[in-house]
Parts: sequence; C-alpha cells; structure tokens
Amino acid sequence: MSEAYFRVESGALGSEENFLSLDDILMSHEKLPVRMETAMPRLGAFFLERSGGAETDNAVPQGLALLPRLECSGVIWLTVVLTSQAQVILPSQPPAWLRLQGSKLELPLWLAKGLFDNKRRILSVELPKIYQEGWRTVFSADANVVDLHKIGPHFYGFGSQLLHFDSPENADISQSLLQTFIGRFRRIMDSSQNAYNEDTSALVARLDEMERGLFQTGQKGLNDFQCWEKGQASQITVSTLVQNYKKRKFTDMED
Amino acid sequence: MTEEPDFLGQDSDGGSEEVVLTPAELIERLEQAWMNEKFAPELLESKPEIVECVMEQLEHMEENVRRAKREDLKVSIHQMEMERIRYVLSSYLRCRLMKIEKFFPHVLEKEKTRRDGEPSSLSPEELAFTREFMANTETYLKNVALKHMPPNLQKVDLFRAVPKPDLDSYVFLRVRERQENILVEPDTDEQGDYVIDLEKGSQHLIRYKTIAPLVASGAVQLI
Repeated sequence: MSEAYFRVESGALGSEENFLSLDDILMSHEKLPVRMETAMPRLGAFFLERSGGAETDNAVPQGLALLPRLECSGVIWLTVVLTSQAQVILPSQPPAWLRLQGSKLELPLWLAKGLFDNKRRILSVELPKIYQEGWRTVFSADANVVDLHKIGPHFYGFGSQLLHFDSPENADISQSLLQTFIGRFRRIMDSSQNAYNEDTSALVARLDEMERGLFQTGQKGLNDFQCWEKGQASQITVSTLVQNYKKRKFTDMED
Repeated sequence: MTEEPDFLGQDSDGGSEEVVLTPAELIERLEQAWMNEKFAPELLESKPEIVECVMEQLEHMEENVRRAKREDLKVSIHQMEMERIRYVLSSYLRCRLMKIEKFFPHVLEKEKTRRDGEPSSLSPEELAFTREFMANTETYLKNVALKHMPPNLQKVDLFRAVPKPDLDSYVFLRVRERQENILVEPDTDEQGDYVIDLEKGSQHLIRYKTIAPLVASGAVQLI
C-alpha cells in the first residue's frame, strides 16, 4: 500500500527539530518555566500574557508561533518587538513596563531555544517537574502505569529538545527517557499488533504523541497484512487525498 | 525465480560493461540493488547499466512469449516471471524517486559538489526531475505563502528546512565478503571506539554511516 503523500516526520528525537514538520511545531509550542536574567524594557505587556493569562492565549501566540520559522533566531527579537507593540493597544493589560531581572515566566520551547545563549545573558531555564528527580524515580519504578498523555503529550520529543539547554542533569534525563521508553515499548508493540478491527481508544489513552504514532504504524502494518492475506492488496482503492472530494454534478459544471 | 526459459540461452551484454552476465545473475544483481535501495537511508548510486539490461531482457522475453505456441503452462509461467521482474524494477525506481522527493535539496547539492571521477547518484532523467521538482516547490511556496509575508521574511532556505537523510540510523546487513578492521564509533561517551571484523555470511545490526562505503562496493547486503 504505497502512500500518496509523505509527511515530514518529527525530528525532535534526533539532534534538531525538522523545520517543516507539523508535529515538531506542535511540540515546541509547549511551555517551559524560565527565569529572565536581563531586564527587558517595555516588553512586560507581551511577556505577561505569556506567563499564562487564560483569555489572551489566542491572540498573539498563534501568529507568533509561525514567524520564527521563517528566519534564523536573530530575527526573533524583531518579531517579538513588532507584535508587542501591536499588543500595547489592548486596554485590558496591566502596564508592566519593566520586566525586572530574575522574574519567572513560562515561555514556549521555540522562544526559549531562540533566546537561550551559551553565555546565558538572557535566560536561564528550569527543568519542568516531570523531568526532575521526583518523577524520574517514578519512571524508573514502573514506567507502564504512568499516564504520559496527561503529563505532557510530547514527553519524549520535548525531553529530547530540553537537552539543548545544557543543564547539569542532562545525562540523567536522557537515561530516564530511554529507560521509560524501553519499559513501555513492549506493551505498545503487543497491543498494536493484536488489536484488529477493535476500538483502541482504551489502549491509546495513556500514550504520548510519539508512542501513538508508533501504535498507528503497528496498526497499519497489521491491517495491510490482513488485507494482503484476504487478497485485497491488488485492489485499486480511492487515494486518501481525493477521497473527500464530492462528485461534481454536470449541472454545476455548466455554470 | 531462476527458471531459465529454453529459448533464451544467450548471455546478455550490457552497453557499457565488459563483464558478460547471465540473465540469472542480472536478476540477482537487480534484486540486490533493490534491497539495498529500500533499506538504505540515503540515495545510493544509480545503476543505469542494470536498469537498461533488465529492460532489454524483458523485451526479449516478451518477444519470445509472443512467438511461442499457445501452450498454456509455459507461456503463463513466463508471463508471471516477466510480471515479477517488472514489479521489482519499478519498485526499485519508485524507491529512488521517493528518496529524491524527500531529500531533494541535499541530492542536488551532492550532485553539484561531486567530483568528476565519482559515480553519480542520479541518472540524467532523475537529475532533470529533481531540478524541476525543486523549481516547482519553490514557486509553489512563494505563491501560496511567502509573497504575503513581510518583505524581510520572504526567503525560505530549503537546504536548511528540508531534513537531511539520517545516516546514523541502524540497518540490518549480511556480509558477503569478509571485511577486517571496521572502526565502530559508540553511541554513548563512555565506550571508546573499537574495531571489529566482519565474517562472511554473518548478519549484523549496525549504524549505516559505518558501513556506507561497503554497501556501495557490494561487500555487504542490506536486509
């Protein structure tokens, strides 16, 4: 069964995310607790929304999420300034003009990565709780019972990209990610290869996004094999790209 | 698969190679190239001589089948064999096209920086296809999205945007000729580099980067 269209897969588990991958874009939008090391004059209004105001989440972030994709990180400052000035017009924001040094915020991963510098002039990143000591011992105890979807749907991808921030715990984090995956993998493989024509929502509920992708690949392999056994492999089927097109009526075409 | 039809006794002679191959050997080479291409993470060398020879062979076989009397069993067996060879050939070409579409900026870059003596990884038709594909993608991106963006953001560097082939991925291989002193780099920092020998007939799971030159020379077979 060959595909009509090849998606760009997530590069998050490798050294760097893929620019064109939708999964990576979604993953890097997750928030990361961060401490500002330098003062940022007049960007307080912008950053105040970012630290978790509920109703403002829709306004700036969506557009802003796409802009850094188009240039290297040098230009993030420009886009940040442009959009912050646009935001200043809103009357409901409390004017926090000066962002003092040492204040804590939650930034999305892509912004934190862009602003992070090895000489640490701007940010210092704190690890989220799930990558810290406490949860690491939970994972090492038994990885199978944890609900990875609830604690962060992009656990593995986000954790792999966190290693860029040069924390002293990097070796432990990577070991813990690896061991968690090893512990959970067998159940995923088993369930994906043996659930044919069933409702799989109970099996998939506690998996994070990468594991779900793996599960779907397993299901697809199983379905393709069953199709081949039934002799339907050589049947020509409608391509997924055009399946949703409705048939045009002759009368419509005459217009 | 190695059924030799009675009336196809001659050896095939490719245009540019001096070695004379029997049809069975040619098909075996095609299958090896096919499997290597399927399992390798990057685009391998193009093998125009194999492709041409196989096309010639298929034409011969078709002619012979047409000339033969209507004995059902023989004719249908040969037709089945022709279908199988045709499938392998088209699957090989499809696999190459898929890799070209996936990694097109890097393929073009490699072609540009290739020195004259090295074999090309693209046949002339594939090169034309890649260039058109790149031009079309750039035009499409520009017309759909980029021309509506603010002027300083209107460039997308496709070479950086499109992911590179992952040469560190692991592949299964079977050794066909004994190799010595392959340097293996470790995954983690704790292990040092070490050197292994590959025995003939053994099977391994190893990083593609380590054995890439061996695949190109035919000393190992990816499975």
